Amino acid sequence: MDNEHSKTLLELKDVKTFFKVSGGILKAVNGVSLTIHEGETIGLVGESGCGKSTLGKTILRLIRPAGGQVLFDGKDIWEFNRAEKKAYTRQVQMIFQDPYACLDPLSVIGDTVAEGMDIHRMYADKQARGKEILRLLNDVGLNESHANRFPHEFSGGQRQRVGISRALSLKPRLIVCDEPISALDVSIQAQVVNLLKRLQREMGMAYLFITHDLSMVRQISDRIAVMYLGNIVEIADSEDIYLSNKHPYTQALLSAIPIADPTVEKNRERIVLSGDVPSPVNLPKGCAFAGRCPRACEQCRAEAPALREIEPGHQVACHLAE
Amino acid sequence: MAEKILDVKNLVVTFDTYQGSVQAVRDVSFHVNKRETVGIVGESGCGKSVTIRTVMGLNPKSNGSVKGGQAFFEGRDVLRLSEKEIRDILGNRMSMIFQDPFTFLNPTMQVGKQITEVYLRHHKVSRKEAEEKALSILRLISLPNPEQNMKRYPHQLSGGMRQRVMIAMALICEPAVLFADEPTTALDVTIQAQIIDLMNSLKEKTDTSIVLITHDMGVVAKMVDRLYVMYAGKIVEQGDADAMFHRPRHPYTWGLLDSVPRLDERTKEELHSIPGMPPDLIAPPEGCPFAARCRYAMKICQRQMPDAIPLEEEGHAAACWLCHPEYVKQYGVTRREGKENGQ
Repeated sequence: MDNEHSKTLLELKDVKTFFKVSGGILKAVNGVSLTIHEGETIGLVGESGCGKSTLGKTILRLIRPAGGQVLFDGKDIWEFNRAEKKAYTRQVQMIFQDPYACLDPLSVIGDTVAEGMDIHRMYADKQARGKEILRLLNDVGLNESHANRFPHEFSGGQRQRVGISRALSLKPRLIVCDEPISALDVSIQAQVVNLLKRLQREMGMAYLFITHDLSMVRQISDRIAVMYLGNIVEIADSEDIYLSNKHPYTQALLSAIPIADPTVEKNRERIVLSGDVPSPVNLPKGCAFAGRCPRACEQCRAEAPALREIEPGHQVACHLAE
Repeated sequence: MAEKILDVKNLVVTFDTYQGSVQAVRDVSFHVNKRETVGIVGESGCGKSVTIRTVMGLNPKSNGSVKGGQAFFEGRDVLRLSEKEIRDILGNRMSMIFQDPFTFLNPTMQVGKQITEVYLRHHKVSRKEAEEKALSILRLISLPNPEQNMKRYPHQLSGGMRQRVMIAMALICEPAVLFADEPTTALDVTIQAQIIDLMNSLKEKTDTSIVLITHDMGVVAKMVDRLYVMYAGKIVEQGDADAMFHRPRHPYTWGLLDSVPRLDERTKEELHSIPGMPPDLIAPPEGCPFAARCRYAMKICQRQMPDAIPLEEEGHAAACWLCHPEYVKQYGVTRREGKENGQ
């Protein structure tokens, strides 16, 4: 990336999002601190149930955190007044996983794309509205003739493009992309990732790219945060996550992903984790990963490690990392 | 020469819909050898699931119809068996594991009971013997605490455990062929790694051949001996895993391999993507179905698709004019870009 992403856009300070469930309290996000700068892409990876989507929803102001703060331009998003709240919903947008479920089946695509602009009154007259819809559809590789069609007339990849153009319509500064490509076929995934990269170059918004696909996230992210059971266990520049990772969970996660080459696969050393992710209700004392960690020691079971910086820009939550 | 367990020849399947008939499988032939893992890869809608569902007799008779072809399994053409005969084979000699274990399992029945039910259907044994058999299978696939877990209901198990239960149900009768339709797609990567290891170890422990259906080239690389690539209802390339990954010859296979970013490489520039979309199978193109998306397409590709052309290596074949002896004689062998040295 050419420019330094120095200006802080969004800051999470020790954010905790809990849910009441029958067995106790489910700690979906358990003390996450993270900074997103203007124009950068952060990949947030982890397995299902690690809290990555909940974190995304907390950022979008859809769920109120039980503790900690979410600061946007230095201001707590839960202390916004009415006008600020409205401005925030414009500046932070979301792209969803399932392009089939996130579009209104009874609205034509043009109206779906324009809905946000209608709410925020972002155009002068009907003509300007139509023009803007057209520009947005063109941006994502659709054309005029698509504006009057219904969602069921589109393929999965095209629907995801509609979802992207709807997010873009409000000229956001941050887009939370929650698994935007996992429902798509491989050849279409690459098209959508290329589109997202191109749009970022042209418009300069930041992405929080939530995914479980570690091979795709490498291609798009500037920094990557790895989550496990509600905590960020490692965060670093994206190349460092792949080449000099320190947390045993990151290492296991990377080694679990098969590489599309039988020769490489045969000669690769792998760490296969035993067991499943424990329930985020009644978390164990100490490090949440200790139960599956091949290197866990006494200290790990007694005391939860905090995220600490071991190299500039590279933070790890592990007692054993050096 | 290895023994063929399953031999499917010229299978044609169409589905009648209001828009017209969808030509889901168009003249597909493949075979499975004993103790071999075969992969069928392709994108959604390419007909890979329909192919194996047809072989298993699982397609609804009302709108799906086998328009032609044969499928020989243990000496009989399974496409021509009666409902009753098929039922004696399914779960017994042929079985299947599905993508989503949660919708597959009965939520109101203990999993142990669901596993033994399969065995009791096909063997004249007491419930107790069946339970013992189930326990031994659960141990084989290393389900933790098999005795307790057999008494549990599906919702009390994790995703990985449910997938193991489904594999146990599929294996309890020691089938000759196990069809696995996207067996790891719904699982997390660390659990996926466990299941892949498990399925690979089954090859050593049992005589079962596995047919793996997936779109994930990484999973394929880890598991299969031989590979078929399907596109728009046709098999476009087939061969040994090594040949298919290192010396693929069909442009669609190249596209498939290129569009998966590899974990061990970083491409700074644009990801490779295949432009366009697969064709509509209600009115498939006359020539090669991939021609519209293929940068090497020639005039002849629009008119006609060649049959599989055998290549140097045994069993490796591609249905592409670029591999035709006449073309090769004139222009040489076309290889995947950026991988000219065959690697």
